[in-house]
Amino acid sequence: MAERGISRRSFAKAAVAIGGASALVACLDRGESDPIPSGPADLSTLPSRQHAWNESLPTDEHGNVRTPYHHLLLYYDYDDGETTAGATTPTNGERETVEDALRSLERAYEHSSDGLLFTVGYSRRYFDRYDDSLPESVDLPRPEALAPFEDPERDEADAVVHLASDRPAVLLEAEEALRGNRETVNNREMRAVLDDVLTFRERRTGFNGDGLPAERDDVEGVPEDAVPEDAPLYMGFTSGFRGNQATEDRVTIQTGPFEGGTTQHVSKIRLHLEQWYEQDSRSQRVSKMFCPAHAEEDRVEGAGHNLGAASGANACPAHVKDARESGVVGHAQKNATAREKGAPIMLRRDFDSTDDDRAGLHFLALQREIGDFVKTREAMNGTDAAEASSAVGTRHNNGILQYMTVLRRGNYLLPPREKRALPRPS
Amino acid sequence: MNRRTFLRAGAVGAAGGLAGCSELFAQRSTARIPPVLDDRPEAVYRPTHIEGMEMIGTQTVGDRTVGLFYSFPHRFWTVAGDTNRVEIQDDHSVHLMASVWDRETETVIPVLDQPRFTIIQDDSVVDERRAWPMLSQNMGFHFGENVELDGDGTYTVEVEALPVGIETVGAFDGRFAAEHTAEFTLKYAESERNDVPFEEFPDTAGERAAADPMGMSMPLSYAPPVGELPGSPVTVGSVGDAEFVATVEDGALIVSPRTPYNGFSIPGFSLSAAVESVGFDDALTDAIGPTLGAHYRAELDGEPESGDTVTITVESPSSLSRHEGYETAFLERGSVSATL
Ligand code: HEM
Repeated sequence: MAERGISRRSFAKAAVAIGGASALVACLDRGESDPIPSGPADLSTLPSRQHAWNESLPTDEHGNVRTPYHHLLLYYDYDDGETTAGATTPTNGERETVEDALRSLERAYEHSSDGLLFTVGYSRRYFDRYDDSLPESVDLPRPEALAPFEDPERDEADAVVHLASDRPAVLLEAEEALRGNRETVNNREMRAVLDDVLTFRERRTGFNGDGLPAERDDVEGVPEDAVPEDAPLYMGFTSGFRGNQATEDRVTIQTGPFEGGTTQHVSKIRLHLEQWYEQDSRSQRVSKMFCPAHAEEDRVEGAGHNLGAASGANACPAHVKDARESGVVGHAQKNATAREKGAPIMLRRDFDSTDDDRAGLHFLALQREIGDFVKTREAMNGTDAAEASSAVGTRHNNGILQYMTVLRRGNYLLPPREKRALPRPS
Repeated sequence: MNRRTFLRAGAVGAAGGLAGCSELFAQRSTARIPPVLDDRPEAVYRPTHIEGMEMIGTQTVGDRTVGLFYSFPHRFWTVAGDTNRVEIQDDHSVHLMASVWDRETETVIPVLDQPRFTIIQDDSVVDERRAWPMLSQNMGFHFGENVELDGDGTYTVEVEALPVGIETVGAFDGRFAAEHTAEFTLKYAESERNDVPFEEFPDTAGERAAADPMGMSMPLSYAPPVGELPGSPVTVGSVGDAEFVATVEDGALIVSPRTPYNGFSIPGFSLSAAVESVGFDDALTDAIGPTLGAHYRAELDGEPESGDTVTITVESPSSLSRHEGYETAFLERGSVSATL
């Protein structure tokens, strides 16, 4: 970092991205020393769904849930060996270690964005080491390319831990503790270390919140001083309105041994926003993000907080009609066609990132079945719009596809809380 | 931190120094670019100036040949609902242009793709962009974008040749389905770039006319002359200054829009057509053939007779990005009719 002459302040700003003990110190130095609320003594008061975060998150005046500002993904493997059926499988002792580590975090931090929210998920590759297969009630395919024009790498680590908080120091401290680099979390004992059982592979980081991307525009892929100050995401618009998110119920597995669980898709996306900010007009951006009618009618002010509790995608004409008659089709407009009975089927908890010193996005979404994600991503591909209109190309004027490249994709099962520690497939 | 910040911060390294230099040149060459005319016709017009171009090379990849060229950074216009003028950024060094044609027939393949340009020096990516499909008076259809370089030196430029998503007809049936990357070596010197011809039209700019296509011997995206189309072609009329020619061949209605004066084909429209006598009233699809070039078509249920009326409707403007002189044309919606 030294040659960049990074200031102490920007070090703290980048703390989650950098990670480690010195980043934690920088955060604490920066005055992040307000006491952090601790978790309950009785852990049975916590929701049995790992993904039940909404009750614990703040909402705005429109009832939109605000996801935590800072995010961390930790990737782990159970072992280095074969993962075909008959390979070594986790022991009960190892399950206890994992559970103890997770419980230590729960006791240490309040289940909130002031404290810590987290989930643990397992990939198809993890389950493949068992003789038994996953039940039919779980749809967890290996990740694959979801568009004819993409060629992502597969993420197939055995497990992924998603940690989220408004407090960078919480994420850094929890990470250090899981990895065995500190013995306490929020002044409480860390009773077990994840790294004793699992092999750490990789960390990914990010943020989502008004002003955070504008503060972090000193990376490749986004022009400087272009991201509006009130935008929670690099692309300049707010996202995740109440009306455009699936409920936690909708994404919850309803039957079988993983009843109360959900599936998680995480893709690593690189953003290319020079053209977005330097070559598209504001009205073109609104057309491509929402729909052309939103642009014509000036429905979106600034980052779009004025939209209230829904993107208004209902008020957009059918996307294929727009492709033909406006020559451009919007992202929100296309994705809304994946709804069922008018209701969204995916719960997005995505966040922007400066990993690799590039503007990016970790698209993290929860859905009952990975198939729901695949269906939504097909809608986003806009192949129907490109076929119907010779003014719309594979990416050209086809939502926001021009401005992103999917680098990696991974699928995970988030078991219900009581089965979250190295689960068996049945 | 990206290189721009690095420069702005005033840090001076060898690379920084050179790039700073190139910025000055870029500014100097943009300084001489005349302002956009106040009073432009809503039609094709002669631009204030035309910039020549240098060929970087051609590469054959699979069934396609890719030609790569550069010029001064350009201002151009993007079209998505509305039309937006793209200004040259200080750090843009050149405008890169790629043209892709069938290696056998040399028919240019003008499709709405966005092939990626990747500029590499010493194993690191200097700039990377998806190019816009665009139209210019001297080059016709090409994929173009302004890019940054790190001053004088040798660069590798990778250009994608993407699978073609539109209908391929005639001898092109089933072709251009694979993805390739063409690799070029660009030996760049600012002094050479500054020698690229730059011609102004102080007296005739704004007239309803067009600058001539360049003289370079390379395939350009011309639409076939009316007389060379199959069947009994008719000029149906103009919408937004695009000339629409229609004909019927083997039960298919073929519509071939072209720019006035230079006769380049114009992809990127959303079109529909009606031939009442055979009960046809539907959208046209975009297609490419070896002799028809880029065109729009539909299968008809019956063979129209001479004297039947054909109506062509422009449902949305051509979404191609435009160089100066084309940005006010091909934007109108409307219908034209003629008898076959
Ligand atoms: C590149 C980053 C992306 C950005 C900046 C972005 C932004 C947005 C925005 C602003 C909206 C409208 C507001 C809202 O409804 O919340 C939206 C809607 C939506 N997006 Fe994205 N999005 C991105 C990527 C994706 C991806 C990769 C998917 C996966 C398929 C996706 C799925 C959706 C869905 C399902 C909706 C809601 C559709 C409905 O109303 O039912 N987005 N997005």
